[in-house]
Amino acid sequence: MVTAPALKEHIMQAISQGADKNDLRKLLISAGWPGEIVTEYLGEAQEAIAPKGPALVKLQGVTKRFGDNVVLDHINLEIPPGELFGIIGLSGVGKTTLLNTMVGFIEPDEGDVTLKLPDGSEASIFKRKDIVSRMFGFAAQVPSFYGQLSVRENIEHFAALYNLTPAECISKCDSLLRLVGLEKAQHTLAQNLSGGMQKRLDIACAIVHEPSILILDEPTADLDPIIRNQIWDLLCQINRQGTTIIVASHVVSELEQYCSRIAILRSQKITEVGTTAQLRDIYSKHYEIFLRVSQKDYPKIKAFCSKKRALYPRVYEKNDCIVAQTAHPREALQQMLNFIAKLRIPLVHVHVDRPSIAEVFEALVKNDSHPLH
Amino acid sequence: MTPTRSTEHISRGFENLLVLVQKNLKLLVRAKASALVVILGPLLIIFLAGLAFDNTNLYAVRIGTYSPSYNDLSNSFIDKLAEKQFEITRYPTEELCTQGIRRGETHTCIMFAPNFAIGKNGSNEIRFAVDYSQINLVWTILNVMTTSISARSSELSRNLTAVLLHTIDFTKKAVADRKQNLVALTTENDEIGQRLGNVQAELMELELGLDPGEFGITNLSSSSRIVKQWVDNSLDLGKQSLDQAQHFINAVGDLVKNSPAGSSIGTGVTTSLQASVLEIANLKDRLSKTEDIVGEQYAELNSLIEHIAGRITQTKSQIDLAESAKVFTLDEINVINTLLDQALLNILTLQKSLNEIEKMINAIQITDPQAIVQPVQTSIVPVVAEQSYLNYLFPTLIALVLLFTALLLAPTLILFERNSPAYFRNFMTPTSDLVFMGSVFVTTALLQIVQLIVIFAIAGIFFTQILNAFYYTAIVLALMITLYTCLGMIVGYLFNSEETAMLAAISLGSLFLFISDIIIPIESMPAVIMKFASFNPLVIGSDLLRRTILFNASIGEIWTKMLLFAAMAVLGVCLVLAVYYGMKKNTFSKYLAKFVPKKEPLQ
Repeated sequence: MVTAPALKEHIMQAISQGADKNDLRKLLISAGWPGEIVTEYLGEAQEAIAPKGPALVKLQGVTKRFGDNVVLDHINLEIPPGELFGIIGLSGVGKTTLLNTMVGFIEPDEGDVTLKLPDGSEASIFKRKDIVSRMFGFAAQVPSFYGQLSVRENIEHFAALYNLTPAECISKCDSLLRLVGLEKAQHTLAQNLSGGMQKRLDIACAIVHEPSILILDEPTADLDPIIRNQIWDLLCQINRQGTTIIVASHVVSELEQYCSRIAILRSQKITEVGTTAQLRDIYSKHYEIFLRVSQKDYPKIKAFCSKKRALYPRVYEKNDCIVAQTAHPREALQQMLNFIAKLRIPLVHVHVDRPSIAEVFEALVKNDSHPLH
Repeated sequence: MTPTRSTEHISRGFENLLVLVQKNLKLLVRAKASALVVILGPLLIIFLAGLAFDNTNLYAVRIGTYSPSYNDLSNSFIDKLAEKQFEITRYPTEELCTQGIRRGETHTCIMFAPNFAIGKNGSNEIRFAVDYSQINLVWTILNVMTTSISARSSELSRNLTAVLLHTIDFTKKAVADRKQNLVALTTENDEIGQRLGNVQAELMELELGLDPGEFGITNLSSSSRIVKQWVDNSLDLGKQSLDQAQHFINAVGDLVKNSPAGSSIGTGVTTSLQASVLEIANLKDRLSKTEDIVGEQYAELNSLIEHIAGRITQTKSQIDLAESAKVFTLDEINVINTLLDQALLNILTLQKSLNEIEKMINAIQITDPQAIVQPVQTSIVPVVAEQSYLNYLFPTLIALVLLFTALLLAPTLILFERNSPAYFRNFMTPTSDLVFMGSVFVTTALLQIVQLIVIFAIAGIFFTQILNAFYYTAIVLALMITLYTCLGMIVGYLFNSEETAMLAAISLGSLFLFISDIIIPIESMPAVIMKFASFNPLVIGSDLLRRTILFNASIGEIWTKMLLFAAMAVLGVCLVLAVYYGMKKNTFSKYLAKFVPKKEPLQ
């Protein structure tokens, strides 16, 4: 049996050799590994292999006010190249403003956004807008293309505006259509596409000039789960090709699943930045053992856990399961399973997990500065 | 930037411009409603205007008439209007006639005065009731009406003048004839004067004095009385003598009778005495008769004398009257003489007047009634070959189409772009703002050019004149397109919503329209507005087009206005840039505001 540390090692190795994070994740989950552990290890592996050089995008003390309303308050953020970076925050917290500031649409009242240029130098995006337009791709929350032009016409139009020659436009268009899976719909008017296809077209338009950084604002908003996955797969694919991706979303689970690092934006500030594991660790070191038995004889199990408070500091029922928190999941799970075996109660379901980023975020929002424990 | 990079930059700019124009055209064509309104709308307008104005008449004008009593004269006016193919409706009352205009049954009401007739002052009036709210029609209707009425008035005036001239001619002949009579009258007057002088002299010599005393009527009367007295005395004496004789006889008789001798003798004596007595009685009787006769004769004589005295008195009175008459006659003759002198003077004056009249009549050279009614013949000669109203309106229609196309299309394109989700992405591209502005300009200009080609192609069927001054017309059209498109772009950049921009564009277009000479003449506007109107791009544009298309004007004739128009076009371009860059930040902020999401639950 492969142990958790061994699994981590395997994942690290596979990622460093260029394995697709999503493919690996699917493979491991199908092999029976808990999804949360796989996600955590994948995040850690990606963080480990991420280039640690100078940040590609750097926000320094960025403050933006609309009248008396402070939307961004001294934001400091560094995003290295090649990263799939997520920004989470409640709706209306300022995610879009932050992204717009990153691409130079909004000039901050204080602070600066700098960009590492291909020659290695750094430049404020507000002083080198020409570079910004070439290095940034942006997919806003609302798809940005002409509904009355076809898919191909849209891509070719924006490609032409990025000064690609007609031949390059055609070639680029073909490759992008393949990438986003819209080859068959290339002559369909954009307004007649489904929501997911529109999003894919929007992404295609955003990367038509092969930007170094792709910024997406709520890329999966209003999409069904299958399409969401498709979009994320596409983003991972783009990311694998070397494009740094910055995604702002309030769908925390997706960011948790796909992003190498996440920044939490709340109260006009980036309060936390890190991998999913790091974010979890900030608020809780505990794992959670989820158990479901056929007779639901949870009082006996609760009593068993209560006797070992050091191992099970907190036990509660949630969704027909008994949940026991523990800092030592292997030992705790083993003892618990032994106890159930003694009771001869049929075990229906068991899994070990850690609090999700969504739960961490929810807790942050609800309790603000109070951690889970 | 090196020249090579600069050229490359410009080249890329042009390429991007073409891409944007291509995109704009595709979007316009695919947005069917916009294409219909913006592209086909003006074409449809000019097509309809062409159909509407492709004639020189007003066949559809309906006229109401009212007269308390129609007569030949009023009917002749109505017939004259009917000849023009106007639809005439006769109303029974004046009120119904004017209500007809309000109800839209008629365009004008012609009201004839009661007893409408020529030569009756104050009654030969024709009143027009018109609806001034139909400002575009009212002047045309009035013009046509008054022209028709004037034609009939002129006809009547010509007839009256002919009568007048005939009378003058007759007078001229009569004056010539009567001049001889005046000469004869003068001579006769002179002769009458002389004769009156003679009569006056004769009368002066006539003595009509009479003294009744000279006839001795008083003496005659006293003599007759004396004679009567003497006769009476003689008769009395005779009677006394006879009485005495009788008394004597009687005494003799008595004596005889009483005498005895007397019986013998007495019988003889008595017989003699008796005979004497008889004789005396006879004498007495005869004396008595003589007395009576004398009395009668005396009475007759007296009567005769009195009659003669009366006649003399009467004659005296008559002679006195005759004397008075003579005096009066002499006075009258004097008066007559004076009057004759005056008459002579009058005759001479009349003669002089007649001479002058004759001279003046002879001096009248125009004897043609038409020449007197219309001493100055006016005729309107069109400076271009008259074909239809469309011919004259063509430049204005072109200007209107260009103006409204530019004012509607440019903001549509700008706001189409700005409100499109793709605005954000376009903004991200390394495309210059000037290229975006240029794409709007070029797209609008292209569509205007397409419209012009269609219009000119259609117009070419009706008149070939448009191609005479092709180059100058093309320059004017280019300036018009530039300026109008700039105005449209300014509207587009100033407003954020398509609705308000359309409203502003239509308002601006209407403003230009109302202060132009298309609806009412500029000259009839207040001075301030007239001054403003002279700088109205629509007025200048249509005027330049009119000159080049209709008058085939050379550059020397239009260069000042063309220069002004070019300056305005340059100013328009500068304003577009100023407004664009002035509004850019604000516009983008508003655009970004659209993307601030609403609160959504955490997933």
